Amino acid sequence: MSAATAKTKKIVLRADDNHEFEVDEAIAMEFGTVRTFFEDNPDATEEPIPLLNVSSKCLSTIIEYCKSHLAFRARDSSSSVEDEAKAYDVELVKALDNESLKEMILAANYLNMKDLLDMLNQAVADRIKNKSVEYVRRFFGIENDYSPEEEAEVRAQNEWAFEGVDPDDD
Amino acid sequence: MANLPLDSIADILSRLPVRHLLRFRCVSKLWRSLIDDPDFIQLHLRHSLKSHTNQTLILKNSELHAANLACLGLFAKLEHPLMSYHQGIKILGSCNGLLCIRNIVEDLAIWNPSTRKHQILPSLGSCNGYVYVYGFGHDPITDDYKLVKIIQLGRVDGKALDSEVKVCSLKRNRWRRIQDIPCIFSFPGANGVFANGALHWVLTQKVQLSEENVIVALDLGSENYREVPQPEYKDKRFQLNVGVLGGCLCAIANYGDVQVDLWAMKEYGVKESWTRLFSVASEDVIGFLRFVKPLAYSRSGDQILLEYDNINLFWYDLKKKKKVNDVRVPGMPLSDETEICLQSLVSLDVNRRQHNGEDNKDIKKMDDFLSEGFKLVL
Repeated sequence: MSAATAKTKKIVLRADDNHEFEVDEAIAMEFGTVRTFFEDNPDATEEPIPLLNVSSKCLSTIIEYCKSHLAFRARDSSSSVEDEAKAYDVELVKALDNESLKEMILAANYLNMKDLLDMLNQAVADRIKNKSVEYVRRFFGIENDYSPEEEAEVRAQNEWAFEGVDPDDD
Repeated sequence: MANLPLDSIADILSRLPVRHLLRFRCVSKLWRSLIDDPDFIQLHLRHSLKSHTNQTLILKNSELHAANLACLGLFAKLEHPLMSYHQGIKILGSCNGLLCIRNIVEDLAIWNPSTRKHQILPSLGSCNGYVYVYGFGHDPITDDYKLVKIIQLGRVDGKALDSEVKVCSLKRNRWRRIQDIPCIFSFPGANGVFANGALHWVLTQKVQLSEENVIVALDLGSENYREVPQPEYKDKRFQLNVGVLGGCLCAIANYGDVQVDLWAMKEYGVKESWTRLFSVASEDVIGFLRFVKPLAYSRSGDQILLEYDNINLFWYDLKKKKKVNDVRVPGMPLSDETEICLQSLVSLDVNRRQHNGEDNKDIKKMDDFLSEGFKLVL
């Protein structure tokens, strides 16, 4: 990268399948782990940064997320821009199925991206809120280790909490 | 299948209302241990406080009615654990999701309406002929909940009041006497307000030849009294009450029912941190501007819910600097007392760290991981 062409510095991020993404430095600095890496190694901007636990699919979504939010922040901090940013987040999450949502959380956690992680965790909470115990087990891949008698006993402790739960149709 | 680590699951669950968490105890034994764990309960509580969520508005007439503050259209009747003898009950205080209540014969209970658990406190018997007030709050040092009763025994003319102060805690479950409030001249007119580990009452003290309002704090940890510095008021001809909003102690100055100023002590104990949040004038409200009490912040933090004259509610918008909405919901019961109660998992079980054998492996795993991230910082 020569000084003459480097108007905006570019950084290369490499996903776990070795697919590489070139992004503006400003975007790369939104990634907590990348920012920390550069603080510790200020000269290491030539090599691609390996993001071992992040798939191409997640990485491209996250890059788009960063681009959009940087653009929102650059405009102003009015409530209408805030509403647009929230609407963007809602659309982004809507497009993610349960599996992808979990992968994104793992990626955001690994990349140390607090706002994104916060938004995704809230999205999962909203998704499972009114769901049955079975749905939640399937969502998180949890095996039921209660015996039928034990489960009935735990359920009876708060039977009223089972009223009005969404039916499992998915 | 991507599997989320336990700390992600704890973060997600800490955002859920109590009802769903109680149901999700059935998901697995590990989830039950997590949801029942005191450190997770604190995490959940801290999240509610920070995000102004999980707040219940309780309206009281001869019965209790509750609605989620975020959804004031749906009031449900609350069944409380005391005998009401057709007289209803009084709410003595609300702290971290626990309510302290009493009935007409002075039965007392600490009750978590969200988990539907309660503990009866020993009765002190009725103090016929005596004037008394209560206060209910949390002692962060022993992580215990305390009910304080101040009983006015009598007055020796011209001198300070004779009173008796007693405390009963959830863990110890018995009444004991503690030191009296030093040199008070008039008796507190209302139950204490809990903020920052202490209960607060407004008293008057004789200062040279006049009487002045004093805010007295009883620290629930040390059980000592101190005076809380007040704001620099420009005009001192008002009636003073204290309240709490978003965890901050508030001073409510009522100028002859014509104007009410609400001050919040942003940094507890620091006189300079008193901030006048707003003023409300009597022409802004319908009815009389008496007994203004701040209740809660809206989820955005931009609006404050206030009660006045004991039965009316309105929202004040801090950004627009004016009253915005009277709260008038069809089917909303009339009430003579309002309270805000958090929905929390706070447990009344004082032996909550005891588990039976087969859970120990999971508890150890969870204790190890929770001790890194979620131990309550005192």
